[in-house]
Amino acid sequence: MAFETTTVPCKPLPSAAAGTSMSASASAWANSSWVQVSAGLTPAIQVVSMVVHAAGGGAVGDEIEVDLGTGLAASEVVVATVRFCKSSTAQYVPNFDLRPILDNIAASTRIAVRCRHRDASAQTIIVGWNYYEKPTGIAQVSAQPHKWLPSAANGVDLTGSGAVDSDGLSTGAYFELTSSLSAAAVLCAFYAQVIATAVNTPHWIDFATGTAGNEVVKATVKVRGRTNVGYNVPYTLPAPLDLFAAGVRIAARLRYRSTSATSLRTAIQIAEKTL
Amino acid sequence: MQSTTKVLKCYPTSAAGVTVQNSGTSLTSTAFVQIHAAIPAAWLLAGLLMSNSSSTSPSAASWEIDIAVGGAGSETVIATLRGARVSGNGQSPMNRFGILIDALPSGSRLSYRLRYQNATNTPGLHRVSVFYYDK
Repeated sequence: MAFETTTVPCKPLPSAAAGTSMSASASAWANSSWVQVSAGLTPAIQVVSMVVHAAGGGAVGDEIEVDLGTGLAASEVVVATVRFCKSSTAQYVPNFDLRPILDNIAASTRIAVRCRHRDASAQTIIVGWNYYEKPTGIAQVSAQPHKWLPSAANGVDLTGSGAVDSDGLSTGAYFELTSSLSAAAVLCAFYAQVIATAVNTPHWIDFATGTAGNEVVKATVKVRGRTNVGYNVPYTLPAPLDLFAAGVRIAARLRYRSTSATSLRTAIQIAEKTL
Repeated sequence: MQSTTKVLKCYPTSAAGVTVQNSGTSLTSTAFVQIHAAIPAAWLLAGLLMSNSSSTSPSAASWEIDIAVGGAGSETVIATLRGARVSGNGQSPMNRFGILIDALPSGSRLSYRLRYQNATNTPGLHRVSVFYYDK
């Protein structure tokens, strides 16, 4: 399929202003209040990317979720959840893609955000977005909300003992991301944050389906383990992976080249079908 | 799945990005700075790289960049992208437009301007390069 293009300008939200500031709760995974981003835009929009500034508080390895919602105050409906993992206590996170492109914000609809996070410590989260006004003429979009597994809960720490095979490769056990997927979905993105040791070495993550002991790998990704430096945003897959039927168990394991025991924190972003 | 046989290109190429100094007032637009006097073919704009320049390092902050076409003093914004510098000396990765922008006819003068959310209102130098495909 040829590249889709548009003559419509890309725009930021908010525009020529500071991002939308949220006061994250001091209780783990408790929602903040909703904060209005816009009273409504005309026409409808398609959201393509996000920028985050975690302005302080929270520890390295803290996991943060931001809900993008529409609707009147106290009646907001979540149209997307974005999740990332902090690699320093206060950091700017560069623009990162939302895929599939989000096509579920109607014209003249109030837009708001809220957040929650892993650490039981107050902090400020500031977010901004990039979007296009409809119609863009683009077909590869989705009205399905972006969701995360796990959600509103700690990510899964994939651990490895450092016991290596004859090739020097250490393979960890599988850790469950969900016991049963509630609806068929495509895998869109993931994040990976090294929590302990084995930093600056290659890490492979296998995402698999199947019962414990019978996992079948559906995707293998490779990341460079880092901690305490840079930023840690979702890695978007080259194409959403349509290999996850309703009811399947999803698990992940870690493979890496080190004799050190290690731990890597991950979560996955899905969009339920039909896109 | 979308793919292309077109070559992904960068401008400027084999040269430093086009430099601008942010305003000393947060979120105030700079003047437009020319990236290309007249592009040789219609372009599909894919993304941009925003990096620091020399030792005058601005602090980490959010930014907005307007990409425009048109003669000096008559620029029309065709895209605005919001992003962030992760540290004063750090470079941001390639910032992609979510959809390729088809609004750069052959011969267009291409320019950009910057709004920097600089809490300390410290001017700093920035460089911008763009990524594109020939249409």
